[in-house]
Amino acid sequence: MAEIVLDHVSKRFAGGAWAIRKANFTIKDGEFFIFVGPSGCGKSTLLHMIVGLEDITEGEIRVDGNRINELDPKDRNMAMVFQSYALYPHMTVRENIAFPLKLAKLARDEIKRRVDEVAAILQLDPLLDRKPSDLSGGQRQRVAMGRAIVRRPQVFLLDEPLSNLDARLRVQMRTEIAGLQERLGITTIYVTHDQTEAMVLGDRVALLRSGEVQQIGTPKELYETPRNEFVAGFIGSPSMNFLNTEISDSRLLLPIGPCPLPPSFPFDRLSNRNVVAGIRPEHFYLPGTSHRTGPVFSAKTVLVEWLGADLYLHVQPVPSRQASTRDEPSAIEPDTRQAGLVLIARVPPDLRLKRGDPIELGYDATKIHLFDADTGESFLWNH
Amino acid sequence: MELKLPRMNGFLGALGSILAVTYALLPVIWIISLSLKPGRELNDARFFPNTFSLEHYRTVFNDPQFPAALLNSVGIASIATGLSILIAVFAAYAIVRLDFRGKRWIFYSTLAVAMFPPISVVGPLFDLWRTLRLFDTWPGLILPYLSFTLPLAIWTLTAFFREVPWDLERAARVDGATPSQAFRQVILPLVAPGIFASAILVFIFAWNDFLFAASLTSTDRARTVPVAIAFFTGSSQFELPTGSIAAASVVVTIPVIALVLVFQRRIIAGLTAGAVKG
Repeated sequence: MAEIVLDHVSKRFAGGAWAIRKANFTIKDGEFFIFVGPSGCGKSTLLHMIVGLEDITEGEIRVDGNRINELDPKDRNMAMVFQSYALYPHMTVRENIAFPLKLAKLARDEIKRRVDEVAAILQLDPLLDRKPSDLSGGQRQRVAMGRAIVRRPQVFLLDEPLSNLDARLRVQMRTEIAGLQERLGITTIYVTHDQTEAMVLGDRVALLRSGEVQQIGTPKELYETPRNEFVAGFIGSPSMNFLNTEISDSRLLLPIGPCPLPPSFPFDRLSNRNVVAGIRPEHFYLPGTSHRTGPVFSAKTVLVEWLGADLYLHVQPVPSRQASTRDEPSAIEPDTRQAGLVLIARVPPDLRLKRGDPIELGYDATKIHLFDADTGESFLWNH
Repeated sequence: MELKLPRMNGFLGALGSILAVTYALLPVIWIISLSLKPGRELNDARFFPNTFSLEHYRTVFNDPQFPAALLNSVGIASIATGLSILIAVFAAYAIVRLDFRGKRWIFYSTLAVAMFPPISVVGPLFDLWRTLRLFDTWPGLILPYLSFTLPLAIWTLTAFFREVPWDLERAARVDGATPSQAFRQVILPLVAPGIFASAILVFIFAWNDFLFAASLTSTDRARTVPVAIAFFTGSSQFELPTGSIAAASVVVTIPVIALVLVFQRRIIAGLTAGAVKG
């Protein structure tokens, strides 16, 4: 069992570019920890640094208090599942799974016992004598998992393990991985670019962008209290809607009409700043069909995405008379910055709408996020 | 990576193959036939021998210089092949996996070496080898064979190393292998087809070489079979050694054919299939 501490860890490539900047956090013993971020954000590099395949330029990685910076990968007692699976093509499934044990010089009957045990867990029994080339994608994935868990490592690392599977199998393997991790209780680090995987699997999630950790927290924390505009936009699907806005008299002057803010908002920090407001698609509602209350605006339907259980409406706000009757004429003037603004709203799937139809939408003002337009920092986080 | 060849269509294809094979094999059959004819029937203008006789084979092996030359050939070609492959494996691995200064330069200069006409270095080598006392020795032949076969071996193996996914080596390291274990147990088995292919080519080059062997040897110490055959004399000065030459040629061809047959089954393309996502 292992607790991994990343102490101001940085990585600089030979070309001078920083791949990782001052990653500073602790992965607790037995935790299912996720590195998530867009491609090229350094999440795989960070994983490779932990397992020892990449050097650490600055800082220190400690496992249970012991510095492992200089430790060879083979001595770190960590197992890894590669995105490409990296099965040894000249060995059978049995030999593949037994490979780490053979290197560890275990007795032959002990190797056989443990391979059989792992094969039973992963339902690989009938495949043990096949070569990787005779296996399907899902089976190869399972063999890669087997080769990793057979060692009973202290840390289990998975680098985008599901990205080569089709959608159905991905969901199935996701459940299996979650179950397996819970059963084995091994500290697990999982790298993915898919925010859904991160949300579903992770005890805690670290969101990375250009080598820098943006926020660490439970999936719920990242969703509800994103630290900046990037986190808010990355977590949640479809993405949060962002609107440029101003603050006036404890009201937000949104392009879709003014919005009163609750008194708990930190108005002192907001004054004289360019503000971006964020509304999640699920915080829109249809007035009249919901008992929710909040400001209402008119819009034109641009695109309808029907997914069976959900309906995503892409709408273009139109200045409404309702808003203009209010005492804020500036709010309804066409905002050039927001020309062509399209919002995505999640509404009940039974709504019958087609392209071009007008619609009235309301939104929950208490769920609004506010970000500094210049730095992207959230005004609501950590206040 | 499977190469699907279009099926040859019936009659024309069969005819073409027969023509090609006949064209290639006719001289070989003719030599075998000659080697089996008794001396007095050599000029009987028959394609197939009338009577079979092994007298030429006996003559060849009774001549002390031939077994000596055979030993030289086997020894020199084997050592040259072994060394060439050993060096080429490490060189090709370094070129593919390691980042070092002058990598491209080394890679392309090996190719330049292969473009040298061998005849242009024979003269200087003759003088140099006499000074260095390498003339008429095994190393005296092994060295030039190495320099002319290494480029080919390095280029072939580089292509094979490029096919091996780097993740396999990383996986082996994480699984607990030292760098050398990862290389021997994971990388080498995967480039084995390339090793066998280059080994065959190198061996054939060294085995068949006449130019260096004729210029850089003078006695049975290092003279190889192709040269020894040229030194054959008939049983009298009025007789051509045609039968002996034919018999000796058959004898030297056998090891090469055996080698190719043994190793060709090892040269399976697409051995890395299934390693990474399909």
